[in-house]
Amino acid sequence: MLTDPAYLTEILINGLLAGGVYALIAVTMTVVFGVLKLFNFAHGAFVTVGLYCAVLATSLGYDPYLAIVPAALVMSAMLWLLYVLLIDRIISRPTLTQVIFTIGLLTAADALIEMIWRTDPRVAPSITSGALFIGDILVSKPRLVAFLAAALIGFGFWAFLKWSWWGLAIRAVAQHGQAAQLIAIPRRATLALAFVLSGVATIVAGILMAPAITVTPSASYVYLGIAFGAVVIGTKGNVLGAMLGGIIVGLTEALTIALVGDEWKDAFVFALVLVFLLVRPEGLFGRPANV
Amino acid sequence: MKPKFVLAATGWLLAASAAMTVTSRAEDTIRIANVDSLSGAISALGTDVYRGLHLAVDQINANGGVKSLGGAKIELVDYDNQSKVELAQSMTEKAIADGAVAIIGNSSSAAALASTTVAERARIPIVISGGSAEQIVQRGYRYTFKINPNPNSIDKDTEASLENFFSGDVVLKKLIHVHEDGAWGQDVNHIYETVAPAMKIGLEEVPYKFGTSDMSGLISRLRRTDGQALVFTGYLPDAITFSNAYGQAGLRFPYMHVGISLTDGNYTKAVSAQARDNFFGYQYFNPDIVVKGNEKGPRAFADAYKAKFGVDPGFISANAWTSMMVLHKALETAASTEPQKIRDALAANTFGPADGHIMPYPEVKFDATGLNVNANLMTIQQQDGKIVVVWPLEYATGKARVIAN
Repeated sequence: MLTDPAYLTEILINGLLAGGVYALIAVTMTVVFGVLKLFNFAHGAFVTVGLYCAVLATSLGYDPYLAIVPAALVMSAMLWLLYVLLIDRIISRPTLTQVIFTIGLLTAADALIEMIWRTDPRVAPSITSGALFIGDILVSKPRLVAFLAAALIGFGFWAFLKWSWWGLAIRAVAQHGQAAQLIAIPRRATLALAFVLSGVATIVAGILMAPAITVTPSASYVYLGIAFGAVVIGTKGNVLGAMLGGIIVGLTEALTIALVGDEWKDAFVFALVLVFLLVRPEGLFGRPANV
Repeated sequence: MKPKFVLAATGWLLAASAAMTVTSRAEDTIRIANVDSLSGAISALGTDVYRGLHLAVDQINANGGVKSLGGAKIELVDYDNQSKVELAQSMTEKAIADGAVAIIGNSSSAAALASTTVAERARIPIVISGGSAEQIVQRGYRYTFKINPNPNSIDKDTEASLENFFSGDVVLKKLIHVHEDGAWGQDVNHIYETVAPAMKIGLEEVPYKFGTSDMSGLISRLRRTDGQALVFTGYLPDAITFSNAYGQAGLRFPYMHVGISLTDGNYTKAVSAQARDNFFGYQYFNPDIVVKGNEKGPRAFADAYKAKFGVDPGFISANAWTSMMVLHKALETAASTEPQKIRDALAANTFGPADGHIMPYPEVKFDATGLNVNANLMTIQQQDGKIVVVWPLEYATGKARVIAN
């Protein structure tokens, strides 16, 4: 079947579309790691929050995409509070403390979501639901929209970091926090901004994905694993690397499904991550450590 | 004899006979314990079981109670395990300490495994109303009785039913089995591996990762495979994901089977009626079937349930109701509240239409392991928005529609 050009094209498109959204989730995770030096295990919960924002919109009779702006506004405030009250206190703590803390945060978020929404599977159909056919090639419309929007947001994020004052501030703090403070960059505000922007972008990624999948609270762990894998492949702290890492994960999944079987896709993705950790732990764009 | 002594002895005799009388009066009720998830993660299942059990108890008591025990009423006492396995054990212990002569309930298999271990040690009969795992009846326990069929069951006459469905213009040459990659999916695939050669048809196995949120890769493959029958074995969220992806891709197999999900409320909310029209599925209970010998029984049960609880009963409630009726018959037969005699009656009895049986199989009968050997599923099909029972033929309310692509 893989010799059928239409089938191969369809598989690669599937992988690219999935990978595009993974890329956005990985970019936001890598920014948090690169700037705050925080292993944020609660990152997966942000995706789930986004998914359930879409479900909430649907339950109120709206198209799930309409949840993007209100969710961004409300969650910005909540994420800022989260940073000020909790995250700010742990970013200078040892890694193990950060890991335990953010796992606790992930568990608490999932429990809260389960309390509100229970474990019943939900869907968030939108005006984009359905597929389009290019000849014999099937393309999922919600996935295409998610990919395009994620690409736009990802590019916007990159442009913000590269050209805006606050983006420069974030990069400066990521490179050397104390030096940045010496030149009057407000470190705490910069870190808070990085955390909030990353969190909001991840929540928006969740909203974008919702029309294409079935939503359950267990989504947190799935996307957490994917994001970590993409970040490791693409180099921790490297935005472009995270984008490429996400695409690579998406394509690996799609080709595994086609060549080996759906039940092997996680195994192959994580085997790839292990290979990187063993052979090139610095990722695609990192420099090998001096031995 | 001294008068004081006589007085004391008389007083003692009177007190003793009063105590015996009180004891006799206490046996006007028979304590049965429902140990189940009345709160917590699976309280929805526990509630369904609770309702089926209490409806049965109300009906039994209104009908004169346990006649062989002088009309003693059944007292069903609920013990909440909060959907926690560790509490299933302690609640069962408490129920036994409180004097329950039998245990019932246990909508989750994990809780059932814990409860049955306690009951076995205490030699108290336990009827599992909800849990279905095979393991429940595979440990050599003598006091455990399970009403539900094993979870990897498909209908017992798969070959016959498929031959019946494909007896028209569409010829079945290949069956595609899309299944979750765990024990359940593999167990069901083993069954099809036996059925397919016997029917001289091809079988394509397509396992998928349980819990996957993206079925686009599977759909791409299915779009390019030939076959007339597609069977999906997977849990509810996966069934929703697959059915929506199947519909969006415009796939149309003449026979598309989604298992037990077809009538689940969450499934019908998430997959449009149009998308699932002509889908086949399984059902354990349907109020419109005709049970020979108790023709009005299923509908009477459903109507009584709705009158009491305001909602239609699902199969979990129907199974629970059946389990309490089975236990009632055992009490009648045993004519005793001794747990050993109740256990022996459960093992020896059958429960059929003459007793009020409402399920789509001849009768409840437990084998030596405690499994209800006759428990079976019905195959249903959604036709023009309505659920029609299409197999077994003796319970069918319509004919299967297998339409060419």
